[in-house]
Amino acid sequence: MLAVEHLTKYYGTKVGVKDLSFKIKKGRILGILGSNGSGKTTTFRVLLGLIEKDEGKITYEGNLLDFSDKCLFGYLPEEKSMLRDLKVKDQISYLARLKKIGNEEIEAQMDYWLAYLHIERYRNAKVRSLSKGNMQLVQLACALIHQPKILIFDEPLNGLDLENVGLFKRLCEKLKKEGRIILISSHQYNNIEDLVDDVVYLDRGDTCFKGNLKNLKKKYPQRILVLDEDIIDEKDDGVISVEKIGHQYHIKLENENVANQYVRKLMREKVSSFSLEMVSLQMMIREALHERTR
Amino acid sequence: MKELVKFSLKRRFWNSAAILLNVLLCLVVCGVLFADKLIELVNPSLLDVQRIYLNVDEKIENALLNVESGLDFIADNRSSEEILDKDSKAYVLYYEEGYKLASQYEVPQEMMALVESLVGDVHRNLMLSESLSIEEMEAMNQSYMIENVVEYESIQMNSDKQNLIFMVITSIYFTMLSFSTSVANEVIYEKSTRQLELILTSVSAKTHFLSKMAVGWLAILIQAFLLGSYIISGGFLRILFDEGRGLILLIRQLGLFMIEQETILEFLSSIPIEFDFIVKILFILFFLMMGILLLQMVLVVISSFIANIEEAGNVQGPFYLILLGIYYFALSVNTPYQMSEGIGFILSFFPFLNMLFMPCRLLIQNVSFIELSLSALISCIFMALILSKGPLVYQRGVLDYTSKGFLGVMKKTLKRSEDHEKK
Repeated sequence: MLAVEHLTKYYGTKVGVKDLSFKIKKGRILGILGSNGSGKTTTFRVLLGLIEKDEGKITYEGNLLDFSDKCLFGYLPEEKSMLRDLKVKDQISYLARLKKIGNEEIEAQMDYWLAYLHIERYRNAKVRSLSKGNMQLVQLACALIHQPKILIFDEPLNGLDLENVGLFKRLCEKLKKEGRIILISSHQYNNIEDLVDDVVYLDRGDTCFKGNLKNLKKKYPQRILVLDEDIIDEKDDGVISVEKIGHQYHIKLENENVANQYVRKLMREKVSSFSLEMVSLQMMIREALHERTR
Repeated sequence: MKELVKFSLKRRFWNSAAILLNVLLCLVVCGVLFADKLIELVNPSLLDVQRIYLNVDEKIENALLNVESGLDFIADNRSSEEILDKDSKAYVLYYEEGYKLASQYEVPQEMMALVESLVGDVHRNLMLSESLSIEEMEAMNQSYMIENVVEYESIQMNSDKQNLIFMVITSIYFTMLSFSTSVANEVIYEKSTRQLELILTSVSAKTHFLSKMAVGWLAILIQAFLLGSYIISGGFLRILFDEGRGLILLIRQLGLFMIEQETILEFLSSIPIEFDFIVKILFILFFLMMGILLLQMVLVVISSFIANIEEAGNVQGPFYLILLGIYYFALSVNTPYQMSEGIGFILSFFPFLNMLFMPCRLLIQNVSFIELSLSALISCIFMALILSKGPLVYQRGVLDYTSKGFLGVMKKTLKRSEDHEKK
């Protein structure tokens, strides 16, 4: 288990992250979320030993985190951090060798991950010739090649198309099953919502909310009715708001009972194309920020 | 660290640009070693043997005409002005209250010395021969020092030693600048591509800093080794070709250096390889390498605060101007007085500056072992200081996510390291 207790980091007088605490067990995914400059990357950099914390304690399996163990973490940075004049295989093997992995092991792991991520045809290509999405996949291979126990993915979905987003989700499920700890930060809440087990939401360094995502959602009794037609009005009983997103109407209802009443009504009126959803992660965040500003 | 060094060196030397440059360098070395043959192809008149018209005593004239000297002596009774009007590259040796060598431009010292020694030899030989009358003996006994009469204009020539020091200072300056900047730019590149962030998740900032120093140093040694091997191979080819006779003749004709020997091997065997000479060379190399290392450290530390190439120009620019100032200053104070007791003497004890001033002193005069050791010790202490504090500042610099600037971060880092030491 990785435990962070009261982690605080200042940049001069500016707060990087303040009093952040969380625990994450093996085989689970923690989403560290927040707006730009909220302290997500600072948290990752402290965990990786790139910057020193000002206060707090970080432990792994009960012991203080040993920053000299360079193989513990696999890191996928937010930006493209590669030497573009290198070939893909040279870039991957260079970073792997820095982790003190033997050549045979590097070759075996590289074969595996390039195949898994469907980028084996780019093995001898120069990094600069790759598309943004493929560069991201190469970076992913760099983060995985030494088989780290903890993975930090900072904005992993940047530049990935739908197919590769699916591939990334399958990868995370696989890593979870293997008992790895995964920390993810992303602004694509709809994509990571079904991926993360726990979340921490940061706002300007402060922890806004945190915990198991399912439990957190239970705190929000509201239900969302998604309809193709504009047949429910904002003034109707139990309706909090009506929002048009694309071609659909998202009707926010007070609670599950109200939602059930509307579902029965729609069935009576023989409206077949509708769905009932729980509050989304994005809505939870919006609510939380709204609360905070109040 | 081994991987970092290996990777950097491979990137630096095993790429198409570096290979092409080395091929060019090899060609340049061969070009220099076979310069006479190239000139023969391009402009053969440059290789014409120096013509010296003689308007002297008949016996001297006859003797000089029979001497094998590599010079082309021609008897001619016309006046020097007349001869030089027709043949501007020629010299005219005549006697008018002493020997005079007339020329359009000032005759190189080596050539003057050669003609003087030839005339001297002729005088001595004639004096030893029994066929001379007493008057002739008296005439022969007179001084045979030659005065150069310049018909066109006088150009002041530098002495060999001054030339040598100028060459040493210039070489040191460009060596330190090019090698130090390449390491600094490597750091800037890694930082601007964010590769550094990934590297530092695998190695400590201190290891990365030290690896950059090692890369800088090894790059110099490898480049020196490559250049040395090109020179040795080219020289070997030249020796096989004609023992280097043509090249030495060309050097003499162009007045570059005064080489008395006829072949490269004779020249090499005439170099006095004494213990003192070797010690001097070793000390010069030591100060050069220390200076480059110090400069590299400082530049790498500064570069760690630079986020992109544009910023690099702003920060490194003034630094290079300072170095250029030091270079010109070293050239201007390059006098025996300044180097023995003036500012050059004092600066030869300063870390980094001793890279320029101590070699100059070593070339001009004999420097005591105590002075050399003191200067080397000061450099070592300064280097140890930078080695202990440098990585801390470097770590802050490469992972600087604040807007405090170089001085602010450095101050804080140094304060923090002091606190750590106290604890």
